[in-house]
Amino acid sequence: MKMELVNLNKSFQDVSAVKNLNLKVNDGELVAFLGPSGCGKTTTLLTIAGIYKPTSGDIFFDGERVNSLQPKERDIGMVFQSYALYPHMNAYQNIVFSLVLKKRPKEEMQREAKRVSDMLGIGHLLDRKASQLSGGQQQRVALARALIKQPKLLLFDEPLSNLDARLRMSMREEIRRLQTNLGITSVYVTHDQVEAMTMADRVAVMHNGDLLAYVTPEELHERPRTLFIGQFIGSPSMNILDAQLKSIDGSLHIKLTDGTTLPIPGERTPKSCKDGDMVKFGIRPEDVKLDSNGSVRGKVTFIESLGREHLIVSNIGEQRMQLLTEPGNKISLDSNINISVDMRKAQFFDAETGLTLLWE
Amino acid sequence: MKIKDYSIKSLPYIFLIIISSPIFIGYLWVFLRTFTRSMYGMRPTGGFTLNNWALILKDPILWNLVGNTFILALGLTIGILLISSAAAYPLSRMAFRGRKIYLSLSLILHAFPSVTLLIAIFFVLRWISAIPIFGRGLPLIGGFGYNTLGGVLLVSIAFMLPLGIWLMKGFFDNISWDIERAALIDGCSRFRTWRQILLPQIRPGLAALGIFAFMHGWSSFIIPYTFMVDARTAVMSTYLNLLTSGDRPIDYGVASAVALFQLLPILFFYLFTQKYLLKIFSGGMKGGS
Repeated sequence: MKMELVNLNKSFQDVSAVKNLNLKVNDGELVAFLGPSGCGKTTTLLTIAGIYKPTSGDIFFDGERVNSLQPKERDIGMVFQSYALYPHMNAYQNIVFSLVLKKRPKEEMQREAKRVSDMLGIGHLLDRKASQLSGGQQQRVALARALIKQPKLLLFDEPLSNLDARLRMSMREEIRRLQTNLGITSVYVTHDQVEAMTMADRVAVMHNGDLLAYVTPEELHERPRTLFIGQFIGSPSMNILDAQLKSIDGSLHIKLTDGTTLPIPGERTPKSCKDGDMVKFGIRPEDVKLDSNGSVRGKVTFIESLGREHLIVSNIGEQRMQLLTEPGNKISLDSNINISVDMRKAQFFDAETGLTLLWE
Repeated sequence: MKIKDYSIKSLPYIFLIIISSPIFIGYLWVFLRTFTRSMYGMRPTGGFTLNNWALILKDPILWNLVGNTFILALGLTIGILLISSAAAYPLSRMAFRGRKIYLSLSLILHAFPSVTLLIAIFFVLRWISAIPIFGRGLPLIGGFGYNTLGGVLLVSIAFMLPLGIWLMKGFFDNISWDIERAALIDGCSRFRTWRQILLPQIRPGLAALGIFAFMHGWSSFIIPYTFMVDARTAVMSTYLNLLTSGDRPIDYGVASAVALFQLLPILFFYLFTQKYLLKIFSGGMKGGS
């Protein structure tokens, strides 16, 4: 099913939670709403579900306006962060509850319950109460409850946030696999950028009720449209340094606050900028290397072991730069290091507005 | 050292025992008095007897009183549970004009001493009496007007509702929104969500409030005493009042027996239900459902 939001607004009293949101979700697509807490992503989701009524604007399912439809008339399934299983029912009763309400025959309920519980591997848990299930099992039951209706649209509200890290990874895979196999259009709300980047076909980044970007994960990572996105996406997050554009021998360089200059490759030339302009220079930690011939000099202030690699925080003049290195090199705190920066990966943002100076 | 520890630890207990002993002594006196001909202080004089019990148990009025008291207690329980749980749901879950005012107003009403309203309520009940059938023509409770058991019931329910609604609202507030949203998406109406999803979850709260209401109804005095002219035959507490006041010499043996008789069901009830009653104060739903 195709879903479309047109000029969607939602405010509570005088607080505007979602501002003028326009967004299309294609049939069978999984779209992630990504943003820090309080950015309006869950509000948007609940508005799509019909729990909240939009203050203004429209919601279309397959071209049909559904603003005034009750949640039960919208043909949706929803999975919640808190699982939201009915505590007084066992797993089976939870799963078939929507069919009970539709007064379906018992055989159909049993058949359908078997179908979805086999799909999720919870067939042996059906007679247990919610309180007797682990978090991961509860989330599977909740997923089964959403899937048994064969919804046209699946809504996920941070479904993995309450699970431990390992389970989260396997559930991530499983949800994505099920969603692709069944071809159900899905909206997935999360504040975890790894979840959004690994699962979604497209990511809608929201901040303070505004839609900042709505692109594929690759695009989001490689071509951040704003400073906020640049810093929000990627872990460890992108280094942002103040820099000044400087023309040296006819080619454009940036000059960092400590005086170091770095040449800007032609394809990364900031648009509509002139010599002497201040910009925000962004570079990801993985594009910065320890290099004895490197032209940037820094001082190590912090070393963090990430296992596979080490994160080194260094000061360049007054500014902070993080870089990833292989473990084993003998870097100690407070030592001076030389760094080379892969300028082909540089990002530039307007110093005032935070908008990209590179991408359309 | 050890003995010192022990004595320090026992100090609070000794203190508590001392301050609660007058109540214990009072009950002990009532208990002993029912089996004796007379007492001097705590000392039985004149020997033991079962006459006091025989007198009241043979009195047909007692069973009439028990019946009335039971109807009042049960009616109060049912009324409070139904109205509180239905009223608390929208107050907890829905946004509507006047919700805040309603909540604070009912809290103020709860703090109001009910005695101040007795005269006003008298007029209201008199007015209800004028309504045919509903006022004074119903079986069992006699109607809802003045000088009927139903009227007393009506007033008792009204007085207890603020407490009941606030308690129930607290229990509803504790249920996660997500569960209700899940039910709405699964195809429930608001009413069905309330009935099938939320009520089962606040069962411990319903039990606690129900028990509380029953005990309250069983021992209520001022409302039946005021609004039943024939207070003698109203409920057990008013009968007890009649036995211990008035111009005849008081038969303390019989009065004690009636008092104990009124106390016993409550005592039993409490023994078996105190675990639920505690939930009112903790407000949680641990291990519920």
